[in-house]
Amino acid sequence: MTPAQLQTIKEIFHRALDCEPDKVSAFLQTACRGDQVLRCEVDAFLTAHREAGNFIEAPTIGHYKISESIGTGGMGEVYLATDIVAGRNAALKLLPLRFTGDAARLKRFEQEAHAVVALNHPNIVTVYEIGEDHPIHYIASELIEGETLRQHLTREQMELIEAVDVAIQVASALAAAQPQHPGRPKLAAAVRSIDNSLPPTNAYHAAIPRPPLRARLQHRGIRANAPELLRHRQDRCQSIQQQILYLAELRPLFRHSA
Amino acid sequence: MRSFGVSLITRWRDSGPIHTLQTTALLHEAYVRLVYQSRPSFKNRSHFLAVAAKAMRQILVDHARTARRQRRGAGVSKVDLDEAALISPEQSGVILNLNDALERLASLDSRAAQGVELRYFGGLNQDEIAEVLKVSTVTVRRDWVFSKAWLYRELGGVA
Repeated sequence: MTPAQLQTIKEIFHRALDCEPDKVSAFLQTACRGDQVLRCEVDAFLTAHREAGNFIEAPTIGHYKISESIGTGGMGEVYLATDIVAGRNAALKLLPLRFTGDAARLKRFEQEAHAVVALNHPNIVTVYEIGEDHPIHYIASELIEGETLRQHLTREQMELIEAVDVAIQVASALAAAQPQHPGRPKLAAAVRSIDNSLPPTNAYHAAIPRPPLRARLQHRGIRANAPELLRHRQDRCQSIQQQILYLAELRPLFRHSA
Repeated sequence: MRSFGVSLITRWRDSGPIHTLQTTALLHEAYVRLVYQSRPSFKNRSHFLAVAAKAMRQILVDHARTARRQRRGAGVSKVDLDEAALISPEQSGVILNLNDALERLASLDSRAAQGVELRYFGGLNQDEIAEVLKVSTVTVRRDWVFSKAWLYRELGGVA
C-alpha cells in the first residue's frame, strides 16, 4: 500500500462515518467506483472501527477503566477507576507487578484482601472486589472523597467535641474489624458511654494519624482503612480518653510525623 | 524546566499507558534522560511535549526489548533482571508490537502516527496534539479514529 492509497481509504472512511447508517452502502458504491480492492479495504477499516471500542484507549483492568492515579499506598499504587459493569467510581489498588512472582507477598496481599472484603460497617471503607487480570492483582474499594486526618490536623486544631466524634467513629470501626479482640468489650463500652453523653454532632473531614489507625473521612463520617484496623494492636493503642485528648491537643502523646 | 518536567511526570502517570505498569522508576528514567542527559534546546512547549513523548516511547521499547531478551534466556545480571521486571513479558509483547505497527503507519501517514505517539506515549490531549502538529482538533480526532482502526487491524484486536 502506498501513502496515497492510504489517504484515499482514509478520506472515504471518514465520509462513510459521516453518512447515516442506511446510506453507507450506497455511498461506498459510488465512492469506490467499482474498485473492489478499495471497497474491501474501506469495509475492513469500518469494521475495525466498530469493533475497536476502547482499544488502546484508557486501560481496563478487569471491568474497571482507569482514569488517573490518586496516590501511593503501602502495597502499591491506587487509581481512580470506573466500574464499567456497575457504573460507579472505585478506588483500585494494584499489587506492583514486581511482586506478582513473589509468592509470600502475593499471599499476604490476598489474605488481607479476603479479610477486609467481609467487613460491612458505616465507618469502614467497603471493599467491592478482589480480582486478577493477569498478571495484575487488584483490590477495588469504595472511593472516598475528602482529606485525611493528618491533612486536617496540619491545617487546624480540633475542638474537643470534634475529637470525641472522631474517636467514637474510629472506635466503632475498630470494634467491628476485630470482633475477637480481647479489648473489644472495653472499647464498645467506652463508645456507648461517650455517645450517650453528647449531643449529635455533624461529621467532618478528619482522621487519626497516631496511634496506628489511619482513616479517611467523607462528608457523612469517618471511613477507616480496613487493613489498618486489622493490623491495629491493642497493646499499642491508647485508651479512648487519651486518644480524644491527643486529638484536641490538650495532651500530646506522640511525636506525630507531618 | 524542572517544574515543567515534574508536571510532565504527573501527566504521563495519569494519562499514558504506563500507569498499568506501575512505573515510577520508568518515569524518573524518562525525566532524567530528557532533562539531564539529552539536554536538547526546546523551541517551545509543543516541541518539548513532542520530544518527551518520543523519549517515553523509546524508554518503554528499550525496556520491553530487555524483557524479551530475559525471556529468551540470555545470561544477564541480577540488576538487569530487576530492571526488566518493570515490564511483564505480556506487556513487553504489547509494547513492541505497537511500536512496530506505529512504524509501519508512520511510513504511510506520518501525521497520524505522530498523533498516536503523542497521545499514547506522551499522554497529550487533543488540543495539545493539535498544537504540536499544527492542525485543527477535528483533524486530530479524525486521525485518531482512523489510526485506532488501523492499529486494531494490525495488532489483531489485542493490546
